[in-house]
Amino acid sequence: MPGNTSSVSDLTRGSSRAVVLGMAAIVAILVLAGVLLFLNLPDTNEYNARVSQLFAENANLTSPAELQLLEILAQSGTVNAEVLVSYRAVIFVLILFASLLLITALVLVLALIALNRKLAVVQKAGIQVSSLVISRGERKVYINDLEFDLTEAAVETLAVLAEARLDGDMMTGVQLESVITGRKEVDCDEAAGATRIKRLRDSLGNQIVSELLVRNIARQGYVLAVEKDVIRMI
Amino acid sequence: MRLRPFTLALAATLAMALPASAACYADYRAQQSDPVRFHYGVAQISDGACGNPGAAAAELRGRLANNGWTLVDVLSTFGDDGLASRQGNAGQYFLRF
Repeated sequence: MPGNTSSVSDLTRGSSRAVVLGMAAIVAILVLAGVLLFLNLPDTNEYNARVSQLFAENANLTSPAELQLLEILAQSGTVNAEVLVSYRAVIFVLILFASLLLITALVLVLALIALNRKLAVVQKAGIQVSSLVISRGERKVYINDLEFDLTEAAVETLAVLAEARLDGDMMTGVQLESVITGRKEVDCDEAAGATRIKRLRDSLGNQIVSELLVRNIARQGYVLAVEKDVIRMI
Repeated sequence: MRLRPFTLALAATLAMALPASAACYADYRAQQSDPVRFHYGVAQISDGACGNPGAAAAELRGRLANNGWTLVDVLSTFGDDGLASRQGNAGQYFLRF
C-alpha cells in the first residue's frame, strides 16, 4: 500500500510539471509565431516608399501618363498592404484558437492519464464506494445505488459505524454494543459487538464485499472503509 | 506739366521691359504622400535663381510646401523659349505655383 500511494503522488507531481511545461511551450510558440507574423509582413508604406523612390531616381518620368501610372501603382500597393494587414489579424486569431485547442487537448490528455491511473488503483482495490446512503426508516442501505435490505439491528450497527466514520473515529466491539444498547461500556461484552459486526456482514451478503466495507483494524476496532463525503443518512 | 507724359511712358516701358527681358522659369517634380500623388510642373522663379537649380529648388520648396506638395527635384531652369515645349507635360501645373 505505501508503494502504491507514493506512485500516485509521483504521478500528480509529474503531471503538474508536464502541464506547466506544456503550457509554457504553447505560449512560447504562440508568442514566437505572433512576433514573426508582425515582423515579416511589410507595412503599408513599403509600396509607397518604393514608388516614390522610383519617381525620385528617374528624372525622365515627367509625362502625365507616366505619373498617373505611378500613382495607380502606389494606390494598388496600399490596397494590397491593407489586405495583408487584415490577413495578419485573421491569422493571429487563428493562431490564438489553435493554441487554445492545443492547451485543451494537453489538459484532456493529462486528465485521461490521471483517470487511467486512478482506474487502475480502483481495480486493484476491488470496490470503490462512491455513495453510501443509509435509510433507517426503510431499513435499507444503498451502496453505489445498489439497494440492500437489512435487519433493524444491522441498520443500527451500520448507522453507528457511519456516524463514527463521519467523526473520524474507530469503534471497538464494546463501544459499539454500548452505543446501540445504551448501557455503560463496563457492562458490555466485546463478543456482543463482534457478533453485531458479523451479522451486519452476513446480511450484506457477499463476504468479500463486506470485508472491504466494514474493516477490522487489529486492537483498534471497526471502521467503514469508505470516504466520509459519500455517506448520507436519511 | 509737360513732363508727365514722359514719366508715364518711361514707367510703362520699364514695367513692360523688365519681365520680358529677365523672365526665368524652372521645371520641377513634386509629390504628395498619403495618398501618393506626383506632378511635373513649370514655375516662374526670380532672376537671381536663373541657371542655378539649387537656388531655384530653395525658392520653389517653400512655395510648394504652402500648397501641400513636397519638392522632389528641379530638372532645369530656362527662359521664355523653353516654355512651349514643356507646357504639354506640365498640364494643369504649368505656371500654377
